[in-house]
Amino acid sequence: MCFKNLPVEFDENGKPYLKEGLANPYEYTTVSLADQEDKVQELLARNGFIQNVDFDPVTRVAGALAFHSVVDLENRKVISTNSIATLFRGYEVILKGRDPRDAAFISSRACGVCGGVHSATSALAMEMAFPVKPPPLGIVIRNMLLSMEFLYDHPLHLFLLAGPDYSESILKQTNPEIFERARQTSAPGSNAHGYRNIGEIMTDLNPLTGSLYLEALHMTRVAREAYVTIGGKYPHPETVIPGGMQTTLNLTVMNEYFQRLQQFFDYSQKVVAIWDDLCDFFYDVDPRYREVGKRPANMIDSGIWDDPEAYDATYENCNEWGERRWATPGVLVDGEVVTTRLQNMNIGIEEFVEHSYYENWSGHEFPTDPLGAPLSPNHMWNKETRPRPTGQSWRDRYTWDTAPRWDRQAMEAESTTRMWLTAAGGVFPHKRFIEPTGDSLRIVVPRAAKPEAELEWRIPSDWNAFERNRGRAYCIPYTAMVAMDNWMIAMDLMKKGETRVHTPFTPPKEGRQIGVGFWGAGRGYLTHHAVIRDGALENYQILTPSTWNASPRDPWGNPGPYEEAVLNTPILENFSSPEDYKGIDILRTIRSFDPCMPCTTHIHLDGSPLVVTREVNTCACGVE
Amino acid sequence: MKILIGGVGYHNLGDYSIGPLLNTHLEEFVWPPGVQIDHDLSFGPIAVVQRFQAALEHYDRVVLFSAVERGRPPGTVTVIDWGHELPDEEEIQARVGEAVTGVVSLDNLLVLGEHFGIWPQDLRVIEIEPAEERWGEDLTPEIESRLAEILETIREAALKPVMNEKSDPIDTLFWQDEILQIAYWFQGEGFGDEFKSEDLRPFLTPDAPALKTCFAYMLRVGLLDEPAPDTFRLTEFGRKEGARRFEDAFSGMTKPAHGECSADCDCHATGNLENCTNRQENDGHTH
Repeated sequence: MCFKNLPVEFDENGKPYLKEGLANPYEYTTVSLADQEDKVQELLARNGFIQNVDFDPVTRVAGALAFHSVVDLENRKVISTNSIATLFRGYEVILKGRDPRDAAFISSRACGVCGGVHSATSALAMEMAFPVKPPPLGIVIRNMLLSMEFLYDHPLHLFLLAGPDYSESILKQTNPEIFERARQTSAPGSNAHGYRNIGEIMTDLNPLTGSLYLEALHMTRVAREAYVTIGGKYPHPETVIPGGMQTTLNLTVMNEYFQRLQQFFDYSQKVVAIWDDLCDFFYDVDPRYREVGKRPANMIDSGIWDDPEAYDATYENCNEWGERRWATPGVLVDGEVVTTRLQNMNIGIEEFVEHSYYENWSGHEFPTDPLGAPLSPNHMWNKETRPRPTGQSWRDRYTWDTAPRWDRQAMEAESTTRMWLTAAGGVFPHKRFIEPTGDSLRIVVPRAAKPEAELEWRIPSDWNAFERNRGRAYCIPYTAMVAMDNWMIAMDLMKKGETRVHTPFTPPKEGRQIGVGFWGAGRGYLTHHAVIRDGALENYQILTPSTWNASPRDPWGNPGPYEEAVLNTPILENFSSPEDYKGIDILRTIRSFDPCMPCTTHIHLDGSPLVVTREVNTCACGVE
Repeated sequence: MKILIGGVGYHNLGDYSIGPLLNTHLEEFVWPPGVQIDHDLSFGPIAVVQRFQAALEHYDRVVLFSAVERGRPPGTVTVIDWGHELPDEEEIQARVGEAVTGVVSLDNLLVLGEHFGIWPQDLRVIEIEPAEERWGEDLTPEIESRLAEILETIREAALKPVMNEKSDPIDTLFWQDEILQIAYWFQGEGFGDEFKSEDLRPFLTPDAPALKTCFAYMLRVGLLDEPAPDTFRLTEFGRKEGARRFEDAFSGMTKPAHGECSADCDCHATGNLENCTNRQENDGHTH
C-alpha cells in the first residue's frame, strides 16, 4: 500500500483502483489560515523581539522568490513562514492551442538554466501522445546532453549561489567564532581538495574573488561547451525533438564531448571532499546545525536517463522502463521508498490552488489514467490554469506557486532524491560505474589527472540544509558517470552502425491523445502533462521541482517544503541587537533547495499580442 | 583598430529584441577593416565574459546597444557615457547570480564585463527606449519608423574617433574646444566653478565621445583639475583657453548687431549720430 490518504487501493496484482463506497472520493475541506495568522499578529504586537523578517527578493537564487518569516529573536526560533513565488510563469496558457511539435521549443524557455530538460520532458510527453519511439542512439545522446546540463547546474549552485553562505566573508559577519575555529581545524579531505584547514576552504568560497567561486564559473563553461557539441546551443537546444534528436553525431563530436566530460572526474573528487569537510565541520562545531533546514525526508522524483533497450515511450510500460533508468523514479516517505513505479508516482499527485493566485476548476475529464487507475480532479491531466491576481494575504492567497502534493503530503524535489531512490530502490540495472548498496551509492570515478577513486554517498540520518548541499556535491560524480556510461554505449552503437538518432513520425490530426514526460531538472522532479485534441494542444501542465519546494500551504494548512524547513530552523547566528540580524540560517535553508523560480512573468492576454513581463506582487513587507 | 559592435537582448520580444535584430541590419553596412558585428553578445553575460577572456585578440572599442526601458518617449536613442564604474560587491554577486541563471540584460553585461575586466576603455553604449512588449520579431511602428536614425547613431558611435593620443588630432581638438567653451559658459552663468560630466552632457550633441575619456585627456594636458572624484573645474589655463574659444565662437553674437551700438560708441559722446562708427560698419544702423 503506497497511499495512506488518497482513496486508492491495490488488487492482488498490484493494480491500483478507486476505493469503493465513497460518494466523493477526492473531496476535501479547506482549513482557514486566519486563526493561526491572528495569533502571529498578536505575538508581533506585544513582543518586541518577535519581528517580521522578509527577504524580498531572496538573492542568489534563480528567478523571483520572496520569503516572509516571523522570527522570535529572543528564543531564537521561527514562528511563521510564507514562501512567495512573485511571478506568474504562464507557459501553460501560452502553449494552449499550439502545434504539439512546437512544445519542446517553447516550453524550453520556462528556464534560463535548464531549458534542455524542459525540451526533453516535452519531447517525451509528445512521444507518448503521438506515439513514437526514438532509436537507441537518440535516447543515449539525449542522456548525454542532459547530464551535461546538470554538470553546469550543480557547480553553479554549490559555489556561486549557496557556497558564499559558508564563506569567510559571510561567517565573519554572522559567526566570526566559527571562522576562527575553522582556521584551527585541519581538513580531513586535504588529499582530495588540497586545503590544509577548513578556514582555507571558507576563504576560497568568498564570492567574486575566491578560487572555488572562480573555478566553478570556469567549470560552467566546460559543461556548456560539451553541451553545445550535441545541443547546438545553450540553454535552449534546437536538437531535442519528439522521436529523438536532430544532431549529427560523429567521432569528432564524441571526442570533443569526452574531453570536457573528463574534466569533471577530478573536479568531482575535489567538490565532494570540500562539502564533506564543510558539513562535518559545522556539525562538529554545533550539533544544532543538523536542525537547520530540517524536514522529514518526504521526497519525490520522476527519474531520468532512459535505458535505450527499455524505453518505448508508452504509458502502458512506464513502470518497466522507469525502473531501468539511470535514476530510479519514485517516492520516499520519511526516507523509506514507498514506490519506484512511475504510475503510482503519477496517480498520487494533485495540485491545489487555495492559497495561490489562481481560480479552482471544476472539470474531471480524466477520471482514470491510460491504464485505468484513478486520477484526482486535481491531477495535472485534469487541471486548468486560471490566473486570478488578487491582493496578498497570509490568511488567504499569497503566491503564484501552486501546492502540489503526493498522497496529500508535501514532497520535496531534489537532485539528491535521485541518488536516494537509486541507492535504496533495489531496481538499478546499470552498474558499470555506479553501485547501489541499499543505504549508499558507490561511484567509481576513473583516473584523469588524479588516480581512480571510489566515492560513496550515504543516505543521511538527518535531512537538512547541509545534506542537501552535500548530496548535490555527490551528484556531480554520479551525473558524470551516467554521462560516461552513456558515452560508452553511444560509441558501441556507432561501431555497430546504429547511427540513427531520430524516428520520423506524423502527429495525429484528429481525436484526443494524452502524454506525460517524466524527466528531471538539475533540482529534481520534472513532468509535463499534455492533452492534444485535433492536432493542437488543449491542455499543457508543467510541474517543476521548485513548484514542489516553494509551494504554499495546502488546503489542510500544511506548509510547503521551504516553509516547513525554515520553521524548523534554529537561529544560530550571532547578533547583539535585532538590527544586526542577517538571517543567515534561514537563507542557508532556502538556498539549500537550489530554488529555481520562473525568470520572468509572461502573461499572455487573450485577444492581444501584448506581453507583460513585470513582477505582479513583490514586497511582502506590511502584508496582513 | 579593432571595433566590436553588438546588440544585447532576448529574441521574440518585439522592441525588446532590437539588440539581436539590428545586428543583421548592421551587417549590410559597408564597414572599414577591423569592424566586427557580433551576434553572440546575447548569450548571457558570463558566456560573453568567458569568450572575451579566451579571445586571442582584443578590441580597441566595443559598441553595445539594446532596448532599455527607462520611461523616455518610445524610440528615444541615448548614447551613454559609460563610466566604467561598478556597484558594490553584493550587487555584483547578485548580477553574477542572475547571469548564470539565465538573465540577459545590458546592465548585467556592462557590470560583469567591467568586474571581470573585459572592456576596453573605449566602450560606447546606446540605449533605445522600447514602446511596448509583444511577442515576435516585429518592431512597433514607433521604433520601425526610427530605424534608420537608430542605425546611423550606432554607426556614428562605432566610427567616431576617440579623444586620446592615438586619435585624429583634429577631432581631439574639436571636442576639447567644445568642452572648454561649455565649461567656461557654465561658470559665467553662475552655475558654479565645478561640474560633473552629466552637467555638460545636455549641451553637447549626441555624437559626443565619452566625456570621461575627454576629461581624462584634458586633465593630462592641464586644462582641468579634479578637486573631488568625478568632479572637475577649469584650471587658470583652462579658463583662459575657454574664454578665448568662447569669444571666438560667439564673436558674431557679442559684437553690436544690426541696429545696435554699444554704450561706449563715439556717437553718444559726440552726438554725431550721422558719423556713428557702427553705422558705418553696419549698413542700416539707425538711432
